[in-house]
Amino acid sequence: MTSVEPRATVSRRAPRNPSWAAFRGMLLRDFTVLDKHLPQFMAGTIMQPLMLVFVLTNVFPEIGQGIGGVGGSSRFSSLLMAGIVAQAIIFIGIFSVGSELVREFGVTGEIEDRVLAPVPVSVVALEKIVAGGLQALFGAMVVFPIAAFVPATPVFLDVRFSVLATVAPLACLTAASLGLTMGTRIKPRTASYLFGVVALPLSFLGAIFYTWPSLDPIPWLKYVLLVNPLVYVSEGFRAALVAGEPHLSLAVIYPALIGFSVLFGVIGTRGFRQRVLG
Amino acid sequence: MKRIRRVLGVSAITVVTFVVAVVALQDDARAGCVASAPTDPSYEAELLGQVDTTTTTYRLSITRDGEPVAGALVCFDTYMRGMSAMVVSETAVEVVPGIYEISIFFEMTGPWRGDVLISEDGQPPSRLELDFDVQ
Repeated sequence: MTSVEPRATVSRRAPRNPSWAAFRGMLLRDFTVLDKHLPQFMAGTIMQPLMLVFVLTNVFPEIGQGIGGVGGSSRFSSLLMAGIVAQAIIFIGIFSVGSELVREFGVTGEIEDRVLAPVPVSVVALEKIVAGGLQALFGAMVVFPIAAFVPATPVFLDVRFSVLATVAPLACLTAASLGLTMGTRIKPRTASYLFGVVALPLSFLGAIFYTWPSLDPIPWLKYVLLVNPLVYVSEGFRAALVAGEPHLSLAVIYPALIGFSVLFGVIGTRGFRQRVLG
Repeated sequence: MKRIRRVLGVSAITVVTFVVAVVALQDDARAGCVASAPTDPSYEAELLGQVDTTTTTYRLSITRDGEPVAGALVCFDTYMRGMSAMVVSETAVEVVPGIYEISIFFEMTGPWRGDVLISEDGQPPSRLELDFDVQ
């Protein structure tokens, strides 16, 4: 009798850290989907900042209605850029994470594939935050070339790179975590209200078109707005990009952005787990 | 990575244009009246004559250590205090050494704040605040 040695059938080693491997796989999958829909994503990312910058800093000054007067238009344009960057980040966070999740939970049921991955459900939620944060960072970078070439009045930025390099990732995390919270709390049939009821008030009351300290004449509004995370994102970018203008202290901005990221991250992850397990 | 090559390509282009734009946006030539500048106590500025809602041309005296500042670029931004939306900005024209003329129409009486940016050749720009009442 002869015996035959069984041949090894496993040709690939199991990953050392399966959670990390699954996380990378999900991230790659999200960006593969993004690659397929790249023209739509680019159009959605560029259009809003382009239109805002074009109308407020090009059309208005050209027709003699520049905000801030003749020379003040330059100052307004420079102040506005920080707000536009902040708005781009928040909108991409809400729409790339939030509305995608609403669709995946309610319409396509795609999320069921994701949670079959051999990782805790919270890692799937974390991956959504990271993917959304990276897209938001991309959207923020797109605003700068628009600011350089579109306005009719000169935009001058005095970049503090250390502040920019710390505020930008925190802002992206805050936005993506907010998107996760909304995406897990909003029902598909009410998703159409996301823009009108959430995004618009956030945007107009988010210190995009004005600085937070300039609200001195309306003290009640000034302090009510502190619940809006976009205020800290706008003021953070103002601190990073515009010198010589009063803004919220960085000692307030950093803790607020970290706090909002953690708060929305926890609420969003809980909501995500409830939706998946429910 | 092949599956996301378009995303990677667009991201690379975006990073490059971001860097180019940031360099361009920091160009001092764009700064004009929006330049950030420290306050230099050796400079003094004074609006000459009465400031009211009917006059449209004013003269601004600029001195440094008591001496007239000639040949400088002088930008004058002003807004009504508590109403920061009411901003007027003008580049002044030198009429005699140390005296600069600005064309401004103040729409309302009350306390206004001026922000004077002085850029002399070979000197870093400096800012001064100037509080005055419009009669």
